[in-house]
Amino acid sequence: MSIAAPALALDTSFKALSVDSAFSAARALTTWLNRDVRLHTEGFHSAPLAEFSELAGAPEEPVVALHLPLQGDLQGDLLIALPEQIAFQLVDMLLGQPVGTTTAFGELEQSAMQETGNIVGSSFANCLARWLRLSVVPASPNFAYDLACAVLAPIAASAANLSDEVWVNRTCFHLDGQHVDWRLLLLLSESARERVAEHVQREQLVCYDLDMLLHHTAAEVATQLRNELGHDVRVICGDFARAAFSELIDPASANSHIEMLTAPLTPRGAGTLLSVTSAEEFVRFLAQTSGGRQAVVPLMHSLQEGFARSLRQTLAGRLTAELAGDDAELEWAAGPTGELLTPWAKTQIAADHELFRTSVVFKTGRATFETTLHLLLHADRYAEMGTLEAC
Amino acid sequence: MLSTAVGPAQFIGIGELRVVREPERLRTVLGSCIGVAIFDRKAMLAGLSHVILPSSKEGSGARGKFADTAVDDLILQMMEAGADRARLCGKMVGGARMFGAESQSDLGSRNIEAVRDRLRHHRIAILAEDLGGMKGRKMFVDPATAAVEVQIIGEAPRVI
Repeated sequence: MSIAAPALALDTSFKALSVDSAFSAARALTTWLNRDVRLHTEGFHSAPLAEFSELAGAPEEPVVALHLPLQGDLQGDLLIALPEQIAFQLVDMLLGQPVGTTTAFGELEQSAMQETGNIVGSSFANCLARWLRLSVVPASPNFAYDLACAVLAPIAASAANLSDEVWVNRTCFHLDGQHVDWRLLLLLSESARERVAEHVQREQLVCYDLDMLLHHTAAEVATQLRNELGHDVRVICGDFARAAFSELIDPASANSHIEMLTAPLTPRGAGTLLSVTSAEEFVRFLAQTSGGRQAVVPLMHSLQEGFARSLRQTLAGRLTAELAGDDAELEWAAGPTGELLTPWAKTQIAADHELFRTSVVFKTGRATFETTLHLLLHADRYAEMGTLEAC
Repeated sequence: MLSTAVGPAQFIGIGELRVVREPERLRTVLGSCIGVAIFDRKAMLAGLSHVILPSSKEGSGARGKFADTAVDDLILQMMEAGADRARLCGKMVGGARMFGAESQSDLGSRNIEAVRDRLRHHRIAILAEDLGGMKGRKMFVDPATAAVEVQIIGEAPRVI
């Protein structure tokens, strides 16, 4: 089936996929090099013919290139390209010798580079496979030391046979906090792009399904809260989108304090609702609200608990009869992100779950606070979504 | 050497083609692609096409990507620039097998044959070739002399 998904939808939907794949590769590379490696992805975009020559670097400059053809359900190419001098430094680092020692690529140096390509490419491809639920198998890396345009040409040729654009995911590297000019390119074949488009279309349906449940819940909760609390409460929901676990483990935000409400879905393993509020926003909310802290803390908790319970029940009704709504207890925790959210996210990365995220804003009188709502859904439950008829 | 003796040359990217008159020059970088240069030395004209795929019948998109349509268009542009068809001659560079034998379905060889076929079809003599192998090439084209300089990493530049 050929699906003509708009390019913009593909690009935006797969930003989170790119982030997770890049994070996965960065973790593997950090372990391999014993250095702090971060990967920053630009996501997918369509590169026109005029840009082909420069995708792997300045076209006339020598680079070391590692090419991993992708096999399985998703056919394409992974290419890692490093300028010559940077590659020499990397080899020195890998072989534990002073920088400046390597000046040519012998068998040992090639082998060190190929193993690096294997580690980066495999972790990136494995993450792609997990996200897309397709078989993505990278072949052993082929090594080339040549001009940037020359190493790219055969790969671009196969990707651009039917089009004057290649759909490319471009990722750059930071080593110990410094940008280094390494490039990781993923080029997908036309058929692979169609497979991805099918997946995106399905994902968009699931998100739409979730949005409908969320808005339905918000209207109900606003009415309930108004009655129970005697406050006029507005609940404004954003749109759900597939999210990357790795974004929850950003060391840059590890010290920010959060309030976290966990609402497990039952039976065990079906999924979890997680409502996260910035402590700073919460303090502002306190300051803006009349009545003092003692009155406001329970109010804030009531708002979120009421919302979480209601959404959980709505989800239970939507998904399956055996998914009970109110059995599991809600749990509150407060502290730095690094202590609360990060460990939680790390335990879920390898699990067979999908992560969706949106924002919910509560407005009471003059005060407003926003929570980020994460929905972690088991793959089996995810499979039930996207077929909305009524809720 | 040609590349250092002359001023900057216009870069021809993947799938592009262009015609210039002396004193302008052209350059490109090739892997499995073919750089097809066509000259009319008397008119001081040269055209360069950077072909990446053998046949437009096997794909779609810009004509400059494919050997058959790129050669056709390059000849047409040479004529429009004032070349005499009877004086046209060609040189070919590129067609390497990048990343070794395992990774590509011999795209370089297929490109070589496709360009040769098309030049033969138009009865354009191929004066020189620098093709195949497993290394990329820089290619510089001079319309004044119809000389083509080829540079490969680790090798001395050569003029064909």
